[in-house]
Amino acid sequence: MSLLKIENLKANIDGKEILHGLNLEVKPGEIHAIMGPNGSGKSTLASVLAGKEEFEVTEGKVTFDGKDLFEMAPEDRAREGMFLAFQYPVEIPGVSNANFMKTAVNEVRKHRGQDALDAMDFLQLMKEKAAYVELDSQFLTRSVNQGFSGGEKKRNEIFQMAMLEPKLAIMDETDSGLDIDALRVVASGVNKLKNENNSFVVITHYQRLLDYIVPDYVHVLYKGRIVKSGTKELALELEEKGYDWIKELVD
Amino acid sequence: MSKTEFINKIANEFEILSDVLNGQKQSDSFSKRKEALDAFNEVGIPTLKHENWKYTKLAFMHQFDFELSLRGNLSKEELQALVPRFDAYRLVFVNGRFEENLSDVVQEKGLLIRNLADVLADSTISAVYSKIADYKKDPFLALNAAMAFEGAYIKVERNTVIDKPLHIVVINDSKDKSTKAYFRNLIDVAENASVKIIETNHTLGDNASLTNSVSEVFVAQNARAEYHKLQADTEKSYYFGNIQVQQERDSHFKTSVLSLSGKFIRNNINTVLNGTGCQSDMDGFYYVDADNTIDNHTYLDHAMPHCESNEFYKGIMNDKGTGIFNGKIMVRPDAQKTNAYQSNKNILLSDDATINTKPELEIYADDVKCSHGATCGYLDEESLFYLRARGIGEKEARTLLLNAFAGEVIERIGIEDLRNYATELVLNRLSF
Repeated sequence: MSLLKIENLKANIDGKEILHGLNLEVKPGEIHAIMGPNGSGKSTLASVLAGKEEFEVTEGKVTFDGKDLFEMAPEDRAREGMFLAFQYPVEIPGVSNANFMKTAVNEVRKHRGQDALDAMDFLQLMKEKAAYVELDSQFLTRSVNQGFSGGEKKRNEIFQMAMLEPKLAIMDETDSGLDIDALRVVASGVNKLKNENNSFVVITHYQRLLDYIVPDYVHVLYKGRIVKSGTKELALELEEKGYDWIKELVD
Repeated sequence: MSKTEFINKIANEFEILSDVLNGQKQSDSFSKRKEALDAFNEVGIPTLKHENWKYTKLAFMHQFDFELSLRGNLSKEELQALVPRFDAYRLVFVNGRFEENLSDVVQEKGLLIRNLADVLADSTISAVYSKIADYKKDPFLALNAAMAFEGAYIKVERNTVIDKPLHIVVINDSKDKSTKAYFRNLIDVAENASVKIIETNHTLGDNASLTNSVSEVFVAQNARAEYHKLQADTEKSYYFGNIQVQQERDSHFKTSVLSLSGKFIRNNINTVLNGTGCQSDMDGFYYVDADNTIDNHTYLDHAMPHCESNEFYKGIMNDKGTGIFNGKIMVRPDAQKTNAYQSNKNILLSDDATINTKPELEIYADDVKCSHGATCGYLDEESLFYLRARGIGEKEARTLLLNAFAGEVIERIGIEDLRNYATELVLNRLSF
């Protein structure tokens, strides 16, 4: 059975259609990379899946783990096991990372019918997961993303992913703007989390990331549709030839 | 009530008061009261045409028939139910009168606490009384100067550090009728001394209550003082507060004002930095809902060089609430090397809520660092979505964000009891 099934998805922002009938199927244990030129609709896809309200879905259907995704509020999608690693993580002054994660993890646990974690277990868990992405445990008392470098913000996204253990993680250009060391840390965090039951949709601009997170499938998104799919070799071809040949193919 | 009727009523109340003050009628201080009353009558209740009252509607002053009350009737049980118990010395004032039986006995070396009414005859004290709380500055200061006769006189002697805060409890007993009370503190912190003061105001009963509270604070050379106000009163409470401060060289003064409920609150804080090397901090948080008004006016007067001031006010407006922030910073020609920072951030939770924010910088020195910033907006949708995308429900996410917004002010309070109590109150007010 598929974990995520997108059928003929059309979505607007401010009355302008960005996604023009997109199809994608992700099975448990798979890594899918979505590549494409600027403005092709990559981030729109991520936002629509996570439930950002400024996007309007006009047509199509998305099933997540057997449930109708569009019937669920953003928080319910997260509780059901969907995770969006933000392209631009938000700074939240006054809310500590620890408090944020404690609230989030316990909401998700409640949804799954599990008891809330006690303070000691929770601290232990946070320290363990922070080490995945080489974040100093001091960061836990700092406000969410406030004063973080670009690399720290992205590592914090992966830390949160590790805390919430999603079934499906959508990574929206997590690699953009990262230097090679930060990229390695982020990729190694993802690889530690990867198992045969969870899946990743990796949205990226650059083939470079896929040297570290090796995809099972690569899709090219252009003008709001997936116009070509292949294996990791397709990414190398895109890296070499750019997107012009794809554009010619479609236009 | 017309303006004339109002002035007659005040004159009448002044007569009642004069009888209570029998024996002082020939004194200097009594003639000062008369002058203050004349000063008030000249201006009357300010209207929106007065620059300092431009956004503050005071029509209620004419509508309500507040009765001057010179004595309340409060049991220990009522006090206990009404007022939080901090690890602090408690001084209780009911309807403007000192209640010795309800107050703690304070025995600390170098700390003198008296009822102001008992010490005003002392010429060294009457010499400084009203010196900085000059009634010409503000009509409600004038009214207070004419009518208030009790309050706390607090003297902290040289080199005395008082660790335990003093909690000034201001209560209006409005069980039987609408009540009006005046109340005045004089706080004198001598060289190298240190003291922390908390003032909370409360109304007992369902009737309307009007409080006019003035605190005059002298902070001598190298001394430290903190004055915290927590305002969480009833929906029929009206409050005019003044803190008038003079700081001498190398002194440190801090105020924080947390206004969480009440029909009407006006806070004036006016600080003169009268020596070099002073540090002055002003923090504030206000939450206004229903059709209430909370108005904060601050004035920082950098009169001397090498001083630093930090002002940090934040507010949340809901329903048809009105918030007003006016922060004036004056940097006089002598005040070179001044560092003055001011920030006022506001969140509107409803389309009918209003905030009027006005930073005012007047700078006459050329080698200074001054900055100010004011923002107004709705709760940040991006932040809200970020929290929801991690599984936190919308309601809980809002609560978390709003409390974090307020928390940035509250966490700066150095008194643990007060900080915890305020955090809890804010959580109560900001859970929807």
